[in-house]
Amino acid sequence: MSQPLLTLGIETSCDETSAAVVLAGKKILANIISTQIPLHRRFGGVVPEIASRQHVKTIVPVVEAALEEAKVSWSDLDHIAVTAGPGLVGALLVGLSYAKALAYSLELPLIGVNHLEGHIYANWLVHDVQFPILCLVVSGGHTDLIYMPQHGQYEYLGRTRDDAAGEAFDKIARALGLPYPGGPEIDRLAQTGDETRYDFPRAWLEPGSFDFSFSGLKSAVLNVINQQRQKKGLALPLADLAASFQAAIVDVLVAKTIDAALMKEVTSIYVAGGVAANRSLRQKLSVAAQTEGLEVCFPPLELCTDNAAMIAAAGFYRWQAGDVANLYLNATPNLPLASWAPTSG
Amino acid sequence: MQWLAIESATLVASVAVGEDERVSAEITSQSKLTHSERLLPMIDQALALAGCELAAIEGIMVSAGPGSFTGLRIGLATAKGLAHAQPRRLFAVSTLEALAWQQPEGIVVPLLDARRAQVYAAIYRRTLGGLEPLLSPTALPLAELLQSPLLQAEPVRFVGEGARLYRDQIVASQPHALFANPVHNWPRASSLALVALALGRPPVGVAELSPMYIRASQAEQKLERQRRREKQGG
Repeated sequence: MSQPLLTLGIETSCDETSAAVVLAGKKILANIISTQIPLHRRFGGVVPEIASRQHVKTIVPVVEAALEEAKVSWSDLDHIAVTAGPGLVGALLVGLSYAKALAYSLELPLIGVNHLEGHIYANWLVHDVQFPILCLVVSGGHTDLIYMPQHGQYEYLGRTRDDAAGEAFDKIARALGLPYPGGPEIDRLAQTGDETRYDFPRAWLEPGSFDFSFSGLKSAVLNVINQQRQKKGLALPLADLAASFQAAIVDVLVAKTIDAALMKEVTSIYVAGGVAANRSLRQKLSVAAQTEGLEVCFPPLELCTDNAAMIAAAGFYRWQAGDVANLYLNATPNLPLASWAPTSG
Repeated sequence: MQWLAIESATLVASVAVGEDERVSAEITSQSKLTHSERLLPMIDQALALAGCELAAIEGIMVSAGPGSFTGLRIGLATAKGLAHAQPRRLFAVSTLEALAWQQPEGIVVPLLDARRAQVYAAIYRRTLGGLEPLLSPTALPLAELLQSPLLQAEPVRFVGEGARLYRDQIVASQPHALFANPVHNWPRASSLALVALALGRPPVGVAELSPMYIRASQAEQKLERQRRREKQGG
């Protein structure tokens, strides 16, 4: 097997330092993730400067651990893929500067990967993906419905007009006094709550729109929290609030995703991003898809959060499409998810 | 030893290639391009100018600070990437040491703007072939630095972008202050290499190499202030 197939992936866009070795964009040989969650918890959220400092400390040991676990040496690697954005610029720059220099010193092709694209391509690591597909990307920064007719072709059908779904989860979690990161905490609490106790608003927007809006929902939940706090001596009904809030988000995500799949006549829906780990979303979207005869796929939980295996997977397909970065590659905090340029080959 | 030196602690990006005390190529740039865009192309160009292959480079000197946190991280991450897969020795040098090294004998004070009403500074006695630290790199208000007893005995030479920025304030406090030739106010990569070689700086491991931040992050400083207030209040 002499085809160049072994990709080293590097991801430092937020609060995880990750390195992975992936074979042919498909098989994970190693996926090492060093999380900084404990470092940021006392600040109630990610502190960019602390995140950047930690990446400098951990990048070398994390890459070494990935090579060791994959049982490969530097000379086995065929390309290096790194997250170029979107993300925290200081954090991105650590992984990017390291990866550029490493690729230069090993004389290997370097591929700059969009972080969102990485989340989408996490699905390739576990599913046999057949185009065309619909992708729902739900994370702390994004809530996007994207139609993909083939590799690297992204047609936006809808996106959030204000808060991202994950952002709404984090903000409500903070208002409820839950520890950071708030999304998983709400998911956990909601398991024992009554989601019909509060009838929070669902923003459907104008008919036919696949856009999202969660700021009205956020205000409604905050109002209820404030009203409850004024009734002295009464504890907040945390589980019911979490369940009702979560249901309002998930209902809209599920309905718009199914509508978009039917409109584009795709049979497969792929979910990506940190919120793809939400149990209610997984369950309700699966049920709704089954009713319509659609297939819905989620990455396994460990591939929903930020990781370098997904960056290596996306990087491999980009490399196949002839998209190799030059020495001037820079980190772009607001990097848009753009379709790949058509290649001559 | 064939070496490559990388300086990105301030707005100046500088890269040099050489062998022992000889500098074979040096590129220094202050432009609209960010460090992350230009650093590796500059390294590529400096190696080409020097007629040297990266494979021949045995040591990498990098500015470890103090300076711009992001600039330092770009330089250090680049140095780590270049040294990780090949047996190369890494040397951390302070930006302030490199600036002082560019000066003649006497008391030298390299100064960088640290924002928030402070400067990054150190005090060295530059000797023939040596550099004796009298005050290690630190961040402090300029007025406080100028009152240091170390600066009262003999003429002091100020160097660095801070010396240019705060010249009036320095002269008001130290009428006999000397100022470096303006060309030396910008840190140069070759100085990093030359000072590291002259002082016999020991190498540092690729994982251990870390910036000299001096200051904690603003979030940590704020938390620390809160904690101190609570302690006083309680």
